Amino acid sequence: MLRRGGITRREFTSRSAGIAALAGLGVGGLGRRGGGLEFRGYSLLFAAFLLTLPVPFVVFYVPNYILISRLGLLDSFPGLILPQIASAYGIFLLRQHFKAFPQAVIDADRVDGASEWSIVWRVVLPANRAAIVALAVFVFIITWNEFVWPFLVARDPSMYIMAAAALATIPTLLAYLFIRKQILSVLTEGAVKG
Amino acid sequence: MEDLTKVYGEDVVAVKSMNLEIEDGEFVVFVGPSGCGKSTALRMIAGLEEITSGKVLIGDEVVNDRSPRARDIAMVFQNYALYPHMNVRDNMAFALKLSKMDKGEIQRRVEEAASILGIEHFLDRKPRALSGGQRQRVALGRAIVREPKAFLMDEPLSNLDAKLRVQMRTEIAKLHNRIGTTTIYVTHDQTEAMTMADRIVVLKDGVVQQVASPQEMYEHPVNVFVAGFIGSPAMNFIRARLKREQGGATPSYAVTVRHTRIPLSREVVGEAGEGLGAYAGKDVVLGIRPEHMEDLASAEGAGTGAIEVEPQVIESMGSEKYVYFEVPDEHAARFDSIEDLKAGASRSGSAETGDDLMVARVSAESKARLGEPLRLTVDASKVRLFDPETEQAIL
Repeated sequence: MLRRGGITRREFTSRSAGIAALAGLGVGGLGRRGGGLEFRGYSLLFAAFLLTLPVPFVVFYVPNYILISRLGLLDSFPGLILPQIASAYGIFLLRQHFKAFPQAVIDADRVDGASEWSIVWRVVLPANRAAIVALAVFVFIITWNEFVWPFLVARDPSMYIMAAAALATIPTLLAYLFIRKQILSVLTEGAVKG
Repeated sequence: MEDLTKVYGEDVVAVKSMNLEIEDGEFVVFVGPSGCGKSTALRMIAGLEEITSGKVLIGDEVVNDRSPRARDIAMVFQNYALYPHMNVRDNMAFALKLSKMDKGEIQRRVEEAASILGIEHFLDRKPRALSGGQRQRVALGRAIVREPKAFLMDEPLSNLDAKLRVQMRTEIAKLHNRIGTTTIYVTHDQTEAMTMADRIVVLKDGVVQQVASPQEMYEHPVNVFVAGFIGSPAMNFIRARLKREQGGATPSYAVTVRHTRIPLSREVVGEAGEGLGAYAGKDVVLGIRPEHMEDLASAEGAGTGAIEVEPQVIESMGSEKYVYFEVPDEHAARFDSIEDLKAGASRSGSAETGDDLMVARVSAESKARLGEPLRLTVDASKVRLFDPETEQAIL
């Protein structure tokens, strides 16, 4: 049981990559606000993502497994990471958050001389750090506790480490302790008249 | 601006063929009710809104296709629009850093602007630790440090309380006198427009109604809308009959409201010229400003055509009294353009209790009492006449 319930050693790293990619995709939510990032078919793409929101990840195990298998990615880190990169939940959450970001601040940034990407990297992302960190923690907890997918994909015992179930909660707990300030702070307070 | 037009979708016209030339160093105020297109016009100048047709020129250069940053303008927003994660110093320095300015120069400019605005002590605070007035000062500071060709201000005082608004209004005016940068200021508040502007641009439904100095606009509004919008409390409108009276080398005229005859002064008749004759014997709309009526008992000499009214509401402002009275139905002048303004009249801070109430602004010594008839004189040299059909000024 312990062997089978083991946690892949490098899964932690893979999750970090996943979170970064997720945040990146969530930035797509800016498309509606930052004119420069708007692209044709944005609404359609977003709707497609949204449709997957109520579908549990378990349902995707079989098609994902077949796909990863055909791509020859079984027993590899990309095989572990790829299916979890684009989460509809994460995109939805960040998009709603970015939508609520005051348009006037983005306009002020444009008038101040910032390029569209500069607006994203220098103003919108830092100002929404609380939401991004909260999502990162949330995704981290879910993926850290994920059992079935790594178990299906990573067959090579060298990719496992033995761990007791109790130990699995420690990283999550630590992560929360270190970044709780960011999670709790409401950074946009005071930016505009409430 | 040359024929500047903005159309949303197929046929929602926000700004229609706006033509305006603004002199270097001028303080121009766009004023009008909500949805009149004033902010859209400003955003087109800033480059934040695409132009449907027409041109925006800065200097001699057409800037239609230039990005906001290439236009060398600075903008101040209604809700401050400060960067929430940066302290005041970084907020003010942000644009300068983007332009890769020398650090020493950035520091010098930020400190100078901070001292002008009295925010030196807040430079290391985040916006959330500032009051509304302080935040708006920071927003102004962010604009000043750039030393742009023009300041664009989009209702910058609307979020402040009444007292602070008056204070900041004076500060912005002082700032403009000191820096002298061309400023375009958008507001829905006619008092702000009157007190700050070199020239006022009144807009309604995307169309410029009049461009003039505050005094000119107050004294010679071109139509009923402008007359009703500029001045507080608003101008009263009554239907009256214009009569040509015999006698004298030059014709004389009078307007009659019921049994009251108000002779038009020579200045007024002279100003109207020949055109006035065409309205003789016809109905016109008489415009009387509240401050051009006075309680006969406390009036000193000037004023003609005393009218008897029955006060419905009397508001004592300390320095003066506002007397509200009814207009007989047959003399009530109702205009769609004015009704919208009445709906939003609560902002003026006075009663405006009913659609057909007129108001007179009489001296504090007036003995006017509710239910007791009051005789009011009208300063006939200040009345305005409008065409009831076209709503355009006859004089």
